[in-house]
Amino acid sequence: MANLFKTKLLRKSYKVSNNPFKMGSLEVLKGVSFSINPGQTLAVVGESGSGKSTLARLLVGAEKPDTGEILFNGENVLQNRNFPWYKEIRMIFQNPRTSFNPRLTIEQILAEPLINAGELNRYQITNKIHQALERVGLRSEYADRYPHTFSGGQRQRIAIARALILDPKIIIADEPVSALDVSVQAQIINLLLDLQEERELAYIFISHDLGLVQHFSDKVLVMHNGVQEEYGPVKEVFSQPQSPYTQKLLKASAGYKRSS
Amino acid sequence: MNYARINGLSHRLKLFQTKPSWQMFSHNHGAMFGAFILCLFILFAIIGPWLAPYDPAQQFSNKTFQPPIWNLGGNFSHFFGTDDLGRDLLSRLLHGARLSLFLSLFVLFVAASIGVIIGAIAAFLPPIFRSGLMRIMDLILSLPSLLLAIIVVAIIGPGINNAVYAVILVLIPQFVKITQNSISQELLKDYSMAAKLDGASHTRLLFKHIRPNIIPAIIVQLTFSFSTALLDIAALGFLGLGAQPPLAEWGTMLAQSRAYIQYAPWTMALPGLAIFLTILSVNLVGDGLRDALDPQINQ
Repeated sequence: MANLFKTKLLRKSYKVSNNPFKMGSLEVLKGVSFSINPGQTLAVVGESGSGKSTLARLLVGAEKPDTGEILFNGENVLQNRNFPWYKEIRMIFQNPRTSFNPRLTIEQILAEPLINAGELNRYQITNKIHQALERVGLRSEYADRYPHTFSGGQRQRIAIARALILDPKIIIADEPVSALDVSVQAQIINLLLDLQEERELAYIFISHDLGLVQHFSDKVLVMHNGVQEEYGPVKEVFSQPQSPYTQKLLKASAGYKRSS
Repeated sequence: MNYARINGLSHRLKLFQTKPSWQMFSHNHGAMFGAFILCLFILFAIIGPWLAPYDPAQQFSNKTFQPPIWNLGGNFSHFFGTDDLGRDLLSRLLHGARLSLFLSLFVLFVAASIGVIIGAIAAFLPPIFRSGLMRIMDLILSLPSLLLAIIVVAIIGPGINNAVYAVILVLIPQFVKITQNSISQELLKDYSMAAKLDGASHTRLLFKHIRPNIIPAIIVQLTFSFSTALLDIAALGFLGLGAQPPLAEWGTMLAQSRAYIQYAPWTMALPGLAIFLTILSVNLVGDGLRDALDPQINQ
């Protein structure tokens, strides 16, 4: 059976010069491959600047890789210009303070993907928004309020509602809890786990927190300077790290020592 | 079905309208004062010619420099007094309100529309064309607005129409720059990315998501540009390049009476006061609007 979502040797480089006569380029991703099935969680770990966020942008279709393939249900979606990325692969942003438009109400923000999908009328959209808000543990009356009236944890719940509202197959979460208090982090993680069980979601979870990764995920992808250092089931990678970088990373993590 | 449709319509009205907060605006006393003065002046501009007791160009040669009613020697025949040629100042101010206010508003409207459209297009151009366009705008901005307006009028010839074209041209770059800058900044923010990932098209992103965030900046620019428009048209009139005498225009009146400031201060003070109050009230209204449109302040 083909994997739900698979990438092959993704490469991406950026131009680093504004001078059109002197091109310099910086290779941010140097061949990243992985696969993931429904209900699974893939954790992407690595230090700052290792290309994790670039990978996330490629996976949600915000940017195109230079070379490589992205396969969704066995179909190369980079060659399909009409592939509805936003219906299948959704993203949860790192910072819940900047990822909402300050001048739109929660209802308007959550309605956006539904309006663009164009399948429901206004009345159904309202209903769906209220359902989604209640599912993530917020009151449906909150729909009329503006984002700045919510706390960080509540906003991240709204972000989850926004990601889930089109019933996607894959959620890409770019450090979704790193901006939150520790107690709130646990609530959000539990919510994500419940939703995964309920809907057979595949998560691609970008994180710094190795302790969290160990509990939460099935597979790990370790990245360093855009290179895929290690990729495999979480138990193998954490118990028998092969690459020297992974070993260093695990040694540096206090959370790893405590939990092992 | 009918119920759903009605409900859908009311919902649509709620969902697709930005809600300017009237309450917020009405609690702002400065803004209310400004709005009151502005409405009063616009009313005068509309009905002024019927209120005016005399023809603005009619010269009472035996009554030059008659003081206004509150000064010694003033009387009710000329409420605000007369100027150097014996023309009734009240009539001239009322006629001038129409010319000054409507010309400035027209100039502002045209310049803002053109500028905002060019700026919005520029924000989505490839970087090379965008910086080319922006350098042209910088070039125009680097000259003082009045100097540029004088150059333009010198090329296309004096007269009130040409002065209007010149001031429009002078005002455009500010709107282009502020629109392009704000849009570029907003495009970099996370919520723009989120909207793109929600499947929003470029037009939808611009009009639904970015527009409410850049309108406050444009409102502030509008209030600044209104004063520039009013003063530049006046200054061109003063230099004999804009409104030609005997046309009553506040700036021209102000400039013509400059020589008599010690002898007959009211001839200068009254048009000056009119300009001052107009610009003050526009600025107050602009500030109030900016606050009322910001949900972070008004809740």
